[in-house]
Amino acid sequence: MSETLLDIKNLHVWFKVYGGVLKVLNGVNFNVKFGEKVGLVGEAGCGKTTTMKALLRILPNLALIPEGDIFVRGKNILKLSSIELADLRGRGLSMIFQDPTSALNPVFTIGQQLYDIIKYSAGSSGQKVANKKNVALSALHEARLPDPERMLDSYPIQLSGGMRQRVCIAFAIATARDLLIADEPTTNLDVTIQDQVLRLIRDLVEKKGSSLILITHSLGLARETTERVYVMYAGNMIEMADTSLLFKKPLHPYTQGLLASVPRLSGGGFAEGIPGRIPDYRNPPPGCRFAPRCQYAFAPCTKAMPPLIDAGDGHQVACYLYQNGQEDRRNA
Amino acid sequence: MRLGPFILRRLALSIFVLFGLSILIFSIARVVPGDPARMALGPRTPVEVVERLRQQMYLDKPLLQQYGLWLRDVVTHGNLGDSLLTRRPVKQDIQEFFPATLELVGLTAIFIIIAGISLGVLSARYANTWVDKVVRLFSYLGIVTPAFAWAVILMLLFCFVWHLFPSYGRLTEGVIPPVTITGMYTVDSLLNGQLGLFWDAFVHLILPAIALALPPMSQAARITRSSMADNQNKDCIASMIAYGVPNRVVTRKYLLKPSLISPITVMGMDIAATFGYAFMVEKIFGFPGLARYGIQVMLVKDINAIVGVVMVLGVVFITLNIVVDIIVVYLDPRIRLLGRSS
Amino acid sequence: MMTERMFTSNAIENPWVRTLDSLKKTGYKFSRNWLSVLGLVMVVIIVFLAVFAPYVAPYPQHAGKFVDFKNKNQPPSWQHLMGTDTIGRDILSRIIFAFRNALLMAIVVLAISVPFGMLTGLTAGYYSGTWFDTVIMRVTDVFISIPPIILALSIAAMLKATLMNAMIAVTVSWWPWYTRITYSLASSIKNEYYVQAAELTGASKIYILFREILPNCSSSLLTKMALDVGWVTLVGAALSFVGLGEQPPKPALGTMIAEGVERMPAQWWIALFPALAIMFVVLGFNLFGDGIRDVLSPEEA
Repeated sequence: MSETLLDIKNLHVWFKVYGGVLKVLNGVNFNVKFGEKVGLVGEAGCGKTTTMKALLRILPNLALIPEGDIFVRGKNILKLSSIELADLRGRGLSMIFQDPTSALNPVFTIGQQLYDIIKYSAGSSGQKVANKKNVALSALHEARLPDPERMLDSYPIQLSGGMRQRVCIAFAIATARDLLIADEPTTNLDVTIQDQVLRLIRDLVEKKGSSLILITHSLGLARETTERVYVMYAGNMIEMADTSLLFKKPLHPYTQGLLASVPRLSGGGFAEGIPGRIPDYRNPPPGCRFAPRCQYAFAPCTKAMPPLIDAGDGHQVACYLYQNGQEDRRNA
Repeated sequence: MRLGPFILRRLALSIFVLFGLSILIFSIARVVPGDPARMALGPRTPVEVVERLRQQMYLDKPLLQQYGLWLRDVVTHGNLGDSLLTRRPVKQDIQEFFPATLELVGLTAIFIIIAGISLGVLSARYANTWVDKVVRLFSYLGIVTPAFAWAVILMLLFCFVWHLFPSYGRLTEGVIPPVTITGMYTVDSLLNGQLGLFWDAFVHLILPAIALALPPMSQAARITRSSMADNQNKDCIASMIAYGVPNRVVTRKYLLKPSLISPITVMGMDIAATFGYAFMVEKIFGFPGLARYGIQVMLVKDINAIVGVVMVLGVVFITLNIVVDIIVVYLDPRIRLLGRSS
Repeated sequence: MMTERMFTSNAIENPWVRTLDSLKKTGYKFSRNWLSVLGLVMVVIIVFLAVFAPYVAPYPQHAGKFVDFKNKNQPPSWQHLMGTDTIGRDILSRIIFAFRNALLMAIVVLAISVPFGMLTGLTAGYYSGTWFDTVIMRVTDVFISIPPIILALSIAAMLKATLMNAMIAVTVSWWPWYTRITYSLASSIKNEYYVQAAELTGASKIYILFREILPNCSSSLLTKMALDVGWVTLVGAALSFVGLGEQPPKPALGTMIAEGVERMPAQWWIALFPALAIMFVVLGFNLFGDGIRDVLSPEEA
C-alpha cells in the first residue's frame, strides 16, 4: 500500500467580495498516493482550480480558509511557517496550466525562466546545479520542441500555443517532482496538438514515477489517462472511484447526468443535458448543493451536505440515496 | 524587429514630430494679431525703422518662405533671433536659463523615480495591511495637491516656521557660481571640486524639487502598486511559486519587471509635465530658470523667445520620450517583436 | 416519490423595475467605498457653491470691483473666515466665485474637447491601418508630444488674456488625449466578435461606431471626464497664476495664489487658502472619478 502524498481533508475556502462571502469550497476531501494518476472532473466554476490554488497556497488575499487541513507528505501545510513552506515548495510540485500564454512570463525568455526553475529545484537555497543548460536543453528536447537552443532565447510571444504548452511540460520534465498537476492542459489547444501533449504528459509521469492530478472537464480525457477519478460539483467532491468503475457504474445523479450528456456517435438521439445552473456561491443551498437540480432530491437533501460514504469496491459517493448501505432509493 | 532598427525608427518619427511642432509653433506665432516688428520697437519708432526691422525679420515675405528662412537660420547658426525682453540673442538667454531648470527637473526626476517605485513596491508587498493603507493615503494626498500648493506649504513650513532651507534663488546672496561647464551649478561645482558650493546649490534645489516631485511620485507609487497587484494573480507567477522559486526572487524579478512598464511610461509623461509646473514653482522660489523665462516672454509676446523656448522644450520632450520608449522596450520585448504594445 | 423543482428565473420582467434595480445596484456599489461618497459630497459642495455663489458667499460684492483699504490684509477672523487680501476683499467669497469660473471652464473645455477627441479617436481606431488613421494619429502625436499644460500656456500666451481665450487654449491642448484613449480602445474593440457580427449583418458604419464600439469605451471615458474636471481646474489655475485667463478684479484661483505669494510669509492666508481650495476641487473630483471607475468597471469574480 503506497504512501499518501497529498491528503486534503474537509477544506473550506471562502472569498470576501463586495456584498458578502463566496463560499466556494464546502468541505473538499481529496487524496493522492505516490505514483498514482488521479483525475478531477467537474464543470467550469466548480472549484477545481481553487482547490489547487489552496494547495499551492497562492490564493489571493481576499480568500480565507475557515476550516480544513491539507497534508503534504504528512505535514499540514496550512500550519507551516513561510520558511518551512518555501523549503517544502522547493521539493514540491510541477504544474501545467490551462492557458500556456499566461503561464509563461511574457517579458522573460524561456531560458531565463527554465534556468531559475532548475536552479531552485534543489531547494530554496538554490544550490548550484551543474550544467543547467544541458538539463534545460534535454528537457526541451524531450518535450519534442524543435531547435531547443533557439528556444532558450525566445520569448513566449514568439511561439505557437501548442509549443507554449510543450514548454510548460518541459519545465515539468526538467524538474522531476513527486507531483504533477495538469490543470486542463489541452483545453486551449487544437485537437491535433491535444493528443501529442497528452501523450507527453503520460510519458513524463510514467518515466519519473510522479503522481498526476489531471484536472479536466472532459470525461474522455479522464478515462484515458487516470486510474482513479474524483467528480466535483460546486465545491464538493461528490463521487470518487477507480476510473473504469466510475464509468461503468456511476452512482451520483450528477455523474450519471454528465455521462448521459456526452453525445454518442452511434445510437441516435440527442444527448440530455442537466437542467439548471451551478448555485450562487454567495447563498448556496443549505443542504446538498446539487439538490436544486436533482430529479431525485428528497427531504434530507435540503438539510445538510451528504458526506462521502463508502459504496463498496473503493467507490465513494456523497448522496443520501445511498446512505446506510441501502440500495438505490430511486424506485421508491 | 531587433532593438537597433526600432530605435532608428523612433528617432525618425521624432524628427518628424519635431518638424510638425516647429510648423505648429511658427504658424501660431505668425498668425497672432499684431506686428512683431512694431511691438519690438515700440509705438514711437518711425515707420522706416520698423520697415527695416520687418525686412530683417522676413516679415514681408510669404509665410512659407518665412518658415524656410527661419528654419535655415535655426539649423545652421542656432540663431533664434533676439529677445524683445532681454534685448540679447535668445540663444544666450536659453544657455543661461535652461541648465537651471534642467537641474531642477533632474533632481525632481530622481525623487520621482526612486521614491515612487520604492513606495509602490512597498505598498504592494504589504498589500492591505496598515503599511499599504498609510502609503495609499499619503500618495492620494500627494496626487491631488498641485505642485505649487506644495511649494507654498513647504515654503511656509521649512523656510519660515523652521528655518531650515533658503527660500530664494539658486545660490545664497553674494556667492559666486562655479565655472560654467554644463551650466548646472550642482554638477559644475562637483566637477570643480567645490563641495561647499555644491551644498549651497543643492539646498536651494531641494524644496522646489520636492514640491514638483510629490504629485508625480505619488502617482507613480499608485500605478506601481496596482500594476504589481494585477500581475500578482497571474498564472506565470503562480507557476514560478509552484516550482519552488523563492518568493523574494519571484517578487524582485518576475513580478517587478512586467509591473514597471506602466509606471515608467507615466513617469515619463509626468517628468515632461514637470517642465510646465516648474514655472510656478520657479516663480514662488524666485528660481531663475527657463520656465520662469518662458512665462515672462510669453506674457510680453516676445515671439522669437517663445519659439525658442518651445523648440528647446520640444527637443527635451522628444528625447525623454525616446528614452522612455527604449526602457519600455527593454522591459517588454513584445513591443518590438510585434511592432505594437500588447 | 418525485419532487419537482422549478428553477426560478432571475430576470425581472418589468423594465422600470429593472432600471430602478440597476440604479440601486449602482448606488450600492458606489457607496461601498466611503472615499467615493466623500468625493461625491465634495463635488456636490463645489457645484452648489458655484451655482449659488451670489447667495452663498458672505460678501458677494467683493468678487467684483471693490476696495476697502481699511480692512486690507486682515488675518482670518470671524468676520472674514479666510481673511482679506491686499485691497480688503474677503477671500472666502472670492474663492466661491472663483469656483464658478473654474467649473465653467471645465465644462466648456470638456464639452468641446471630449466629443471632438472621441470622434476622431473612434473613427481613426475603427479605420486603423488606413491613411485616415495615420494622419489623425500623427497630428495627435504632435500635440501629445508636449504636456498639455505647456501647450495651453503657450497658446494662451499668444492670445489676449481673457477667460475665453484661456478656455480655447486648454481645449486645444486637451482633445488629443481623448483621441488617444478612444483610439486604443476602439482599435482593440473593433476586433471583438460582436463587432464583426454586426459588420456581417450589414449594419451601417455609423451604427457600428456608435452602438457597438462607443458604449464599450464609455466607462473609461466617463471616468476620465470626471477626473479631468479637477485637472482642467488645475491647468486653469496655472494659467491665471501667470496672468492669462480671467483678469482681475474677477476672481480666479491662480491669480489669488500669485497675489498671495508676494505677501509670503507675513500674510500667509492670502496664498494658502486659494491653494487649499484648488486641492479641494482636485481631491473631490479625483475621489468621485475613482468611484465612477469602480461602479463602471466589471466586478471581479
